Amino acid sequence: MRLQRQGRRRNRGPKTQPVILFVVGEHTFAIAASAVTEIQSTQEMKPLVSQMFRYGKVHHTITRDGRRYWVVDANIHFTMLPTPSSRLLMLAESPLAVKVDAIVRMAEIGKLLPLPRSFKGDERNWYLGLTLLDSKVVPVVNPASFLSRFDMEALEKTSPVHAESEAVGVTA
Amino acid sequence: MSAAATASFVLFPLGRKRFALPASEVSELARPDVVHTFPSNTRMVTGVLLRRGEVIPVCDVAQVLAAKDEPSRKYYLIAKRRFEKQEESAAIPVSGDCELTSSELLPPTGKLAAYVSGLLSLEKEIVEVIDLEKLMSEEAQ
Repeated sequence: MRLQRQGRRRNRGPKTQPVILFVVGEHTFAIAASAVTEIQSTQEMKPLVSQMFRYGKVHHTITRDGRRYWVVDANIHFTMLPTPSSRLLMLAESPLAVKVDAIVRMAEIGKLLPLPRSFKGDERNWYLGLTLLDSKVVPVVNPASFLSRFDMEALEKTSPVHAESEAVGVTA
Repeated sequence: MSAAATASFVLFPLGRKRFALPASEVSELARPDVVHTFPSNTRMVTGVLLRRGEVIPVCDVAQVLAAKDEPSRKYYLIAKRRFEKQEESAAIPVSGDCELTSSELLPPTGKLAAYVSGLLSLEKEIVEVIDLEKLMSEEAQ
């Protein structure tokens, strides 16, 4: 009984969530730290050889621990003009890596503010909500929005089974 | 003989023209503020303002109402938008001072855009009253 009460008290503390702040173009975004397994440089990224294997925002793969990750270009995903990318966010829940310009830092965020209803476009899927950091409004990205299960299945079908055999040894 | 029913409207300039919103839909006129932007593709919604801890979307109606003029945006008219049963504030950039007026709402005549809900016949001008929801909707394109 006593232990249960203590447990309950512990849950009443301020709820914060660790996030990774990253930059694409002139915009800063946040992603839940739990959604990212590691951060890589883009040097080991390999381009998909044939144009027919390229799928919209996926033009590269990267292999980590024998597992192939599709690299989603954040500029294309967010319909932004190309900018120099240097880092990959390896996602935890799916074989995806997100190509971004740079990592800013880690931060703790409090309450997630809902995206105002006036926003009706793709951003409703792109973002889980907004947060305030140093008096700036930062969108918190939805990791599931980068590539749908349907897109991933289509990629698996159209691309060769082994990434290594399809990729040329050129770093992007 | 019955007097024509009058209502209150907020007149706001956008470039060389003035437009009106029903006063009941306007909550305040705000000074210029920092617009926080992030990628989005909703037509006319250009970013958000942060006012008293509230995130307010910026609805730049000048893109449609004064596209050729490209007026500078000086203030923000904070208006109310309705989404089913919920209300949300929206910041509308305007290019100058606003004015509160009482006038009879005349029905729209001639070939006016679908977002014009009526007309105000003032001393020196005819002002279009804007239906913000129709203007912001995709159908109004």
